[in-house]
Amino acid sequence: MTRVFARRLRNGSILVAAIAGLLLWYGRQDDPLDQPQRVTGWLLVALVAFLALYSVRKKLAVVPLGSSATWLQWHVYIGLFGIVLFVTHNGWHAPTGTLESVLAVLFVLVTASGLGGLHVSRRIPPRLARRGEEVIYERVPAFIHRLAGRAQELALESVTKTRSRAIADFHAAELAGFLARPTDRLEHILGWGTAHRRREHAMAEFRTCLGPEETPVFDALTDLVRRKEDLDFHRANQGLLKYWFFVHVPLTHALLLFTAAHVVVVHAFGGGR
Amino acid sequence: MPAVTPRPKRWDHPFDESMSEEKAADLLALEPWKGLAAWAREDLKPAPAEARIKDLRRHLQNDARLLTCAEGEIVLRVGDYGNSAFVVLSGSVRVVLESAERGLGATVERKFDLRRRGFFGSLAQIWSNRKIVEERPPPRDGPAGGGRAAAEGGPSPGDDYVPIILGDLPAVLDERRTARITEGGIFGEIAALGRTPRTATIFAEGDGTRLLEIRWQGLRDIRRKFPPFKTYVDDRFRERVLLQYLRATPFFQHVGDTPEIRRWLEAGQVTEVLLDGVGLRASDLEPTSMKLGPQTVELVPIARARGWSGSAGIIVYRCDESEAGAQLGLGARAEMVRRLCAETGRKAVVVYPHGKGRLWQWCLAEPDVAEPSDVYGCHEGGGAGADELIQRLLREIALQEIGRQTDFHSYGEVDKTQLAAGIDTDPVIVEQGHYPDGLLLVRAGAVRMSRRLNRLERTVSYLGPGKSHGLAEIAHNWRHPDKPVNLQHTLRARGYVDTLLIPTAVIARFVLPSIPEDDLPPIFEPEEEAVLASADIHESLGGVDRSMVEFLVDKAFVNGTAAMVIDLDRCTRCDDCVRACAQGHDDNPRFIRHGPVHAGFMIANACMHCNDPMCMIGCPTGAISREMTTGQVAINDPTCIGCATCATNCTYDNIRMVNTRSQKGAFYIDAQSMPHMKATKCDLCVTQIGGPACERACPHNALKRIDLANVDNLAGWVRR
Repeated sequence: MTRVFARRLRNGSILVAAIAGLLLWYGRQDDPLDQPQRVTGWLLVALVAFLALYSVRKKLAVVPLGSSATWLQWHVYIGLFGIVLFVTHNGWHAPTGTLESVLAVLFVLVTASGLGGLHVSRRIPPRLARRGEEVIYERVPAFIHRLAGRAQELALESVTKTRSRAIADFHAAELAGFLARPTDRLEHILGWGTAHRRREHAMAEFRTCLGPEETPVFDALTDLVRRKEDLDFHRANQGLLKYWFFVHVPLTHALLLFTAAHVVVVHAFGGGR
Repeated sequence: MPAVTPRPKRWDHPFDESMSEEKAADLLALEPWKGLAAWAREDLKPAPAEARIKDLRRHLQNDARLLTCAEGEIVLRVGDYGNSAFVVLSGSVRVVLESAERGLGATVERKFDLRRRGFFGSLAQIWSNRKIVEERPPPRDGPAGGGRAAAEGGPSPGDDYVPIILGDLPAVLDERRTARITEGGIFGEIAALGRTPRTATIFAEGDGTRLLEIRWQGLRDIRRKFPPFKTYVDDRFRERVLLQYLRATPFFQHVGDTPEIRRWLEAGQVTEVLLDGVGLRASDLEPTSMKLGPQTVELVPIARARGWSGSAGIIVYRCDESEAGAQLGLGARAEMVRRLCAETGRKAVVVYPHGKGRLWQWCLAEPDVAEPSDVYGCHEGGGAGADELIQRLLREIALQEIGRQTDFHSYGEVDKTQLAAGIDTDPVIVEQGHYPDGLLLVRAGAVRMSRRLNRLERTVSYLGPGKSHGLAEIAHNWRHPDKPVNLQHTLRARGYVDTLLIPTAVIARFVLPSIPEDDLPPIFEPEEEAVLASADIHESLGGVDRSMVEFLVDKAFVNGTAAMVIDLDRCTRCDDCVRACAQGHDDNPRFIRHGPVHAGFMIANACMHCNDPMCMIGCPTGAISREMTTGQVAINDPTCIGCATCATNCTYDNIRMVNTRSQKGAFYIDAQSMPHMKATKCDLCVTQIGGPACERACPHNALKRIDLANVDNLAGWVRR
């Protein structure tokens, strides 16, 4: 048993036990005067505040506040517990008021973006590791620019070397636009490969029309196209890994604001509860 | 608008600003400098001799400083990384000849305190980092004081030198085995030149003990320019380090108790044994004779040692008149021991051959015994303490014999280009298929272990300092001389490697007989060799793929004690590690999250804090050095002159030269419009209380600082 598996087993068991304990406790709350919603509500507030603190921890990277990995573990498992707590707090019904509905939608969106982020952070890194050279995200445009320049040089060289404009024309018509900028973002994220197959097909077809002098030049150009695809792949997937935070974190801030409003409203208009 | 300032130079930051030319000239009249000057005058022509002596004086002026120590003041401590050596100018110092764990204890735990940030100090970095990236104070026009701490190295320890004084010096001298170093004596040079930890604690013996401390780069230059000094240092290196090394090697823990060594001792062939260290020589004591009843017994001291279980020291005597000794009764032996104890103030042990079976006997007593009846252990077989001493005595005899017959060999070069080359160009240390002519111990550097499969030589593992090779083959041949096997692997040096070779005959005589049968390596089955070779290539080393091992060896990453390994299957490329590093280093990260990749693992461009840091070798000012207590390689920014020698030497491109700027953001340039540079690199967050920020900042445990000298460290992490 690996350490990671043992950790997941332990944390998962604790989570299941905590959920079971919560449901058991909630099931026994048959007296409305006990106000179980008040308990679950405050627990939920504390839980959301703790989850939001992870963002603060990440900003205080050199302050000895425990490792980020440990915080993330707590963040994930407490977040999962929060889903059940949230549903319990709502009494297993959809909210009715406007404020509560907005709050519920925000909670769902934050949870969904969090789970989505967790999913991509587990799924994408191995794919990145196995595709092309490892490249720093911010440097991808520079590499693409360099590839595009090299491809243009090859196309121009082909004219003088082969006394034919075929490769240069093909480059201008089919490849120049593709090589000039990052492309196919969605395709690389979702793994469709349609544009790749179309391009491969067109290039294979074109290659059959080339003479022996042109083939090596075109093969070099093909190699550049494949490297460009690898760069696109890295840019798209690394971008997704970076930018899902831009959904999760602002939604969290909005959730915190609406949670505060909800607390005020409940205490102001809650009939003295 | 750039700020034009003079370029920093080699001696802009002398070791001690108050060290004048006159003081340096005065030092030339004292040993050992006096001897070196005399050598120059005798062996060189007048003009070069004077130039060399002038050079020596400049080194003393710029690379040395005078210290005056109080009685009992700790000068250096065992385990600290040494960046300087010391010469006793007046008075004397004492070397504690105890192993580290039995040394002076917690009282000398920490002499220099790095200015580590506390919790609130860490928090304050968030807003107190410099506003301008790589901002520095303006370079000074001319020499400036570096202060003691600056010269000691470390990133920014400040002047935190806190002298530690031993409280009860007489008790320490009485209870601990120490050796004296007097005027003209040098100490600390081995650690300083070898970039290794100190091997002993040394303290001043009297008030006003005057020492001259020389930082390592000055010592290095003097050693290079004065051959007698080089010879002196090298000889001491061999003499001191070898025995210490052998003692510290677990392999030799059981060495010694063989019939041959017992015979030597019984036959009186052992004249002197140095127990546990240097300096305490039994030959300093005179033989003594003792009249016991009608007999006169001659007693020759052959060994001195610290007492076991922390008790007082011991002297081991050989009773030369064996027949007389044999005739001594129990009471006479007790009386002999009691008198020896009273005379020496130590426990005494008498070892002598006795009777037909050459049985061992010894007598043992406390120093303050009043009556013979208080003497204990005075019988055949002895007490537990006596057993321990006898074992130690035998072990030391064996170790010294092994040491005498051990050869030193060095392979490879401290050369970046050699490290960059492949397996074929690595110098061969021993070759597969050759006769195992000795046990090879790696003392420093990294060794590639390879094996031929068909015609291809493949790396199967690597050996770091402290590892040995050849025992399995030697043990096999010792047990089965009729079916000898040759070496199963080829060893090649990756960079500069220091080795010890203990001849096969010595191993067979002194080592193998003392190893229990169960602890000996398994017997080789030669017919299985081909299968074994194939398995070597395909099996993994505790979870680490063979090809990964080859990658680590090829790229010489096995030199790293804190390599930044990133698991790319987990790394989300979030750059939290980079941001954390920047936060701890004035908003400029000290590494690049990029580097060679193999099997989904990246070795990032972050300083690995090498076992043998090549970056330190050429530094003209000694700005790059090991931090004293933890051994991290760190750059002392004020003394760095931006020559880029370290960055050029670094095989891994892990040192970055940065342009420095003024408070207003202007780049510093010199009169030739060349920018002022500073070397920067990962310091392993030595001033942060939580350890490396990069590792702590990784949300997915994808980044780890790993000592790659031992593949098990990597295997443990890979298997997690």
